[in-house]
Amino acid sequence: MKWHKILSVIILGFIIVLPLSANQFQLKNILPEKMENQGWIAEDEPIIAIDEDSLSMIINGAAPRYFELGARKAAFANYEKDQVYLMLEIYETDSIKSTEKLFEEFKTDNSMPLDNLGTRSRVTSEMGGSYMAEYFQDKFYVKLSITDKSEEAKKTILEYARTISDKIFKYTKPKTQ
Amino acid sequence: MTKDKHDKRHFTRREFIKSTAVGATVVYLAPSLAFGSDTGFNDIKSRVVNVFHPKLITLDDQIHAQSVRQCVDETLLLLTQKKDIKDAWMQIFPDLKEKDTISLKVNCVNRKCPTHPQITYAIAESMINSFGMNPNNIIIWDRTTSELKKTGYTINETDKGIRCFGTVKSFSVPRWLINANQDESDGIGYDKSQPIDVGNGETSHLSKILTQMSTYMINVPVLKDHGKAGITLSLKNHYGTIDNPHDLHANYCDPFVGKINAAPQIKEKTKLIICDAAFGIYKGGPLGAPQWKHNSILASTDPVALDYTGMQIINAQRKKHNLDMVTQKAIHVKTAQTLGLGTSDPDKILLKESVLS
Repeated sequence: MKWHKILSVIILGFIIVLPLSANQFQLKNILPEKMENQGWIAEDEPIIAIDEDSLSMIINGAAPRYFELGARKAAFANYEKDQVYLMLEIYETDSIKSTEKLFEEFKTDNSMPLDNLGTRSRVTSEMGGSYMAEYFQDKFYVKLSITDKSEEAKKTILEYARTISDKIFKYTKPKTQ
Repeated sequence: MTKDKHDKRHFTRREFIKSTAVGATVVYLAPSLAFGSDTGFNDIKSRVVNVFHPKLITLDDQIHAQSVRQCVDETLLLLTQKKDIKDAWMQIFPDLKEKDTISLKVNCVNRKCPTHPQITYAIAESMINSFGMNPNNIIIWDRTTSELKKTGYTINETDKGIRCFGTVKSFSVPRWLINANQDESDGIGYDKSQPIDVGNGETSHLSKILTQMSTYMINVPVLKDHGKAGITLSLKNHYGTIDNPHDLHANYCDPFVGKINAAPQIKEKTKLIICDAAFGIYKGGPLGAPQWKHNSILASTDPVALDYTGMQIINAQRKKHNLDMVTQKAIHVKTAQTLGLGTSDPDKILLKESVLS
């Protein structure tokens, strides 16, 4: 790589990273931590999308619909353990009402409601061999998928779903004096 | 659903050949006219085949390894109207030389519903077994090595066996934002020496896997709807061939999709489209889990005719679920026809369906 290319990358990196840092703070804070302790290996660094363009780069043609429904930022993280993949998506919206709309948009016939998770939640046995847990809470719509249809796999994503829910609660609860 | 159709009647191989000119009279199409530059753009019908196999998907929603090869071969025989699979491949690649490389452009953007590796490898194995194609002269590729790996492909950049790798190694937002300065060591990269005009003042660069490493290409898309473009089948699959797909989603991705496909490097090298229609997505695509089991493989040499046919399949599913048709969004299909890439006129499409057992 020639020096001018390195310089371009550094300058562009600053341009990109500085605004991201300010906007990413909230979403990064609610990603689960220490998954490595349970044997999950992060496939890539978590990716944060801060607008429709960056969301389009990650979820391609699905992005416009998410934006229409009020999604404004999103975080993505993928993990692998023994060839089972766990995929996490968190969308932050412009209002609680939008979050509910997003949640309703992706409901399928295979979805079963869940108790005690977020404002409303469901788990879906997906075609192709995966489970997906989804819920909305405050301005966050959370999706966790796992490429394994065992009860153990379902339990795993529900545990992580609750961890994230606790973090959202901690983050969004009114500050007391 | 097709499954219901299969359950009602059990057809033996080739007993059931339904000829449907999508509302028009069926006209016999001489095999020699069904390929190459004569592929039914004006007066000749474009042939699309849709081969179902009720056992293509296993009970645990995986692709059935034994059925898939039978399905691939039958698809090619029906498309070419040959009795021998070697003859079928020879009709598709009449000028193939020993040193030539055939690449298979798959679609791995959605890890829950990608071009299934079992189908892609079955196509490759069919070429290897039937006419002795050197496995190393076959390249399976998509935009990133990382996505190929995550969807079950075996990455191979060596000089032995079927090669498989992406244009770049992995994906990240910063990398895509700075793609103009992308380090070429991070994968083979994009061909900056051959910029292509994709309309509205935009310029794209094609993967070097296509421009520099492929003599011919087989496009292997997936049956999915698309939030912006209505559908993402063979034409839209080339958003994974260019370096700036994120810049080209305005106006239902039009005229970008058509113009990309009109690039000579794509138009002239593409000899076959084999669409993985084992599963399908009719709502919320291109991402998400499969939403129905279609149990089929679609094929054509005309990308526009194939996409038109796939769109009807997706529309039928949407109708069942009281959703709007995707036709109004999928204006790129008409644009592609205008650019001379094929036909979306149902009167000029000859659809052949077969159900295997």
